[in-house]
Amino acid sequence: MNWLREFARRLRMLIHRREFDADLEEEMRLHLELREQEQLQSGMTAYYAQAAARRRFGNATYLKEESRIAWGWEWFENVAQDVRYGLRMLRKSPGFAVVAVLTLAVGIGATIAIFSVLDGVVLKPLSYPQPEQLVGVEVTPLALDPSLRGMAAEDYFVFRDQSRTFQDIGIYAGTDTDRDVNVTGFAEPERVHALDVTHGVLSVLAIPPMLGRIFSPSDDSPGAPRTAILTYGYWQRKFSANPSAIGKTIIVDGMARQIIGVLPRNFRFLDMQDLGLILPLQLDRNKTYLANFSYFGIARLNAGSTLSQASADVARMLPITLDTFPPPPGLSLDFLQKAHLAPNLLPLKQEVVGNVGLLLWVLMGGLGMVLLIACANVANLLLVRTEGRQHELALRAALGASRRRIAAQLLCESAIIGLLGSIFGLGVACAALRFLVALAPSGLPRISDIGVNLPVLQFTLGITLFTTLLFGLIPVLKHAGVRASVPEGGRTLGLSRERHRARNFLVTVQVALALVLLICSGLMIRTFRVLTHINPGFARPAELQTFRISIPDSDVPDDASVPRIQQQIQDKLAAIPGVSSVGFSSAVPMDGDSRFDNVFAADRTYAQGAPPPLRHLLFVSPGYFHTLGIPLIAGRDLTWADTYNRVPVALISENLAREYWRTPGEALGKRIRITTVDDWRQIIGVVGDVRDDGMDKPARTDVYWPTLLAKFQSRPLHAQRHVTFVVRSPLAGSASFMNQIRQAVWSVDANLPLASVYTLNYFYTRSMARTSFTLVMLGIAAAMALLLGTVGLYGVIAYSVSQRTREIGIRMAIGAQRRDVMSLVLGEGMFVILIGLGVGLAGSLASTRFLSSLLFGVTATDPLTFAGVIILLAIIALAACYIPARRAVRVDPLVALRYE
Amino acid sequence: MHGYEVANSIQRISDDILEVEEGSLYPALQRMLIKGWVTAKWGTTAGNRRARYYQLTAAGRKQLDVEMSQFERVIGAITRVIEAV
Repeated sequence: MNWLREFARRLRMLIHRREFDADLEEEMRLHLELREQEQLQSGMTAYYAQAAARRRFGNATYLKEESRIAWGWEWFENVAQDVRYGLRMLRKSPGFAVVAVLTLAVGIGATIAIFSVLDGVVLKPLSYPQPEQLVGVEVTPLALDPSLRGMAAEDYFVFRDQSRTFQDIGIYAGTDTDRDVNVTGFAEPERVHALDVTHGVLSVLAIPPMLGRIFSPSDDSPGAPRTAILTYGYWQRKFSANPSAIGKTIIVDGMARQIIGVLPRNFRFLDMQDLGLILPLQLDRNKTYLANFSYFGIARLNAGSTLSQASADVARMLPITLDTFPPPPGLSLDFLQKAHLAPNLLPLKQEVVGNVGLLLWVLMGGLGMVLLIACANVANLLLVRTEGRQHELALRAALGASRRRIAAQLLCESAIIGLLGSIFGLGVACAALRFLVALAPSGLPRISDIGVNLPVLQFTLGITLFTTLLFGLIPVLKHAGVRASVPEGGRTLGLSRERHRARNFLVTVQVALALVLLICSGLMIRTFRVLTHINPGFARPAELQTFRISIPDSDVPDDASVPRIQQQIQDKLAAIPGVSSVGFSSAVPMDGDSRFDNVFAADRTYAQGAPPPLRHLLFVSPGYFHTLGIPLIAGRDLTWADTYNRVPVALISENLAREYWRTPGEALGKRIRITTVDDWRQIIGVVGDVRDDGMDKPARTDVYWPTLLAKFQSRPLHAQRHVTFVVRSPLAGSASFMNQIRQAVWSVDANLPLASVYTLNYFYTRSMARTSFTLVMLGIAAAMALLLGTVGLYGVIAYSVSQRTREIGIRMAIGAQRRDVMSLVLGEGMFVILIGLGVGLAGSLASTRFLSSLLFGVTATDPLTFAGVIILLAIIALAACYIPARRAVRVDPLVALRYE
Repeated sequence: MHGYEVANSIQRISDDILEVEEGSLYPALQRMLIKGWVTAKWGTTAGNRRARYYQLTAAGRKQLDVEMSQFERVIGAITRVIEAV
């Protein structure tokens, strides 16, 4: 307790500092006066009495200082003094302050912004309780296509009943636009994003409902009363946040459902946007056939289980599923076993984030380099300034300032700059974030999690400390120990080469970093060029307007009527002025469609049970290929007669034709089918390849079927109810054109909402979004690096020239020609540049490999890019040196020699 | 006593043998103030001047005893060493 009282006493002194000083002063004065009186009484004169008293007393100033130090606040007073002094000095040179703070603000701001994105998307855990226990559970057919993953009903039943590592498991149905349900019963019908789940899904996520209840096992039973859960947004929108919504009925896809619960406001299902309804998957165990992998799985691990244990457990259970449930008609069990189904479990966060993490780390690295360059610039500025204060610092040292004290003061000034730079940097970051989020590739996961929150602020603090120390220590190390005698009049002969070392080193670093960034940008630019020049398989996507229509069972129960309605729509659309062609299909290129199946060819033998490769299936209308600009290589297109008469025909893509039958012509007439019990269908045409997976992946092998088929996939009749219409017109993308389209569609059927209204160009640019985003970001970083580096280089050379004015004057006076001076200055610059380029080259060779997964058509060590960028940077750097060199040449020797 | 009186009494009691640099009393008094071994109060001297009077506290007395015994131990040791010589 004593120390507490002592601290209280010390604190009191801190608050009453002035009073303390006054008291001590008065005390000591009294003492001196009393002693003086005593001396006077013993007969001394006034002058000697005072001197004697003072002598006996000692050094009053020193004693006062010692008394103050005893109280322990010296450090605080020193810092306060340094801060005041630093602010004063900054106010006196506003130019320097503005440049330094701005440079830092840009560098720090950019780094904070990219860190916010990195934190929100990659680092932050998912917002469910104990998210590390959550895993995405999928099955992969290794022998067919290792990139596919999904879950089937049989996996769900078996895993749920027999797992040793899962606390709970659920499956949910993929939620592309086709899953959008028609909700009627309100003022107008609406298409709503819905999610089908088994009851386990919501309990795995462990978010309790805000109102009502979540699904229980009974809701999942086939035949149980139909229920629905609302998301908060939908509840607010449609029910005005009225709690009496619980128990009400809504009509979803023609079926009445009772609302049993509302989810909390901040609930998000993985990364799904705009989710409205959650509906129970009523899977019937008795009607379950194998291999319907239309779902995704999610589970929560037991407290003690690891991911690898869970994987092993799933591997154990997969053969059990094959034993427990029957295969669908047309598919043999042997076939499924040969497909080598294997577990594919990932931490849930990884499933959500995907592989965008690498991209973000690359950007973080790039912007980190920009920050380093900015710091180097500020360090250079500080070095120059501190050099100008040599006189003052030497004086301080001579008066008794310790090295530590001077260092503390210099650091304090740097800290002020660092702090100001940080504060403005935060402002820059907030603005940059808005820009980043707007620019971000669509499909950047967890975008709503990005923001300036606590980890970001902690990072800001850390970065501030780091950068301040980085550029603050450099002048300290160089100048704090100045003990040289104060030069009289400050006359110097001009700076020796020694003095330039620190600044030259900094500029070398800047040049090197700028080179690395420029090379990375160059590689990205070339990648982008390669990608945009690849033939996507279709023509002029900006002219193609697309939208999606679903004709539900409730509206048109007769499958055979569906194509008629679609054809009517197609004809109405073709009648719109300006439209050159119309078609429709189950999917358009790059829209994310993933309907695959094994395709058998009649003239090929397959080893017993060995499955043929998976092919991409599409259901198209006559005229679809013509509309998209997909060339017809052999044979003919579909006709409406083929469709209505259910003629068993199909078209295939050129790569599939060549794979099986050497030339497209030979493929005509061959027969293919899906399962082993379907009708054979004849190939009547071969069309060009389409790069459906994006420009950087090979074209898929496609099989095109008519939109109405008999005995397809073991069903008597298949009608393609969900289709995307494609309309070619120069007006594509305009709102007025879409209005015309809507009128056309509604003149056929007024109940059909149009969804997913995009031009094909949207899908095209979206497929390259990752590349273009990286390109823009790296380009910005490289541009900033180039600017800062060039300015830094120019500054150093210009300063060096100004310091050497006298020397240059002498040289010219004794006979140096203009070109000698020029080569002198340029030579110094070239030396720095060459070393910087060399280091930068080595750095680039080492670091571009991190970029290689983002590159396409260009190697990470592409010599052309490297050479081009090096030459470019060398030219710019030389130009930066040239300007001060010209000024040096214009030095008048007489003026220079007189100049001090 | 106030600072001047302390200096004088040290000189007087030690018969002029101990002559301290008088000013160094003040930092010493400050240190004792921090530690709580003395308290200080402003008062008036005989000559009607304002002076700060210091007083030993209970904790101070305890500390004095500690220092005293420490000091006596050291002196005793030195004496013994010299006598042994």
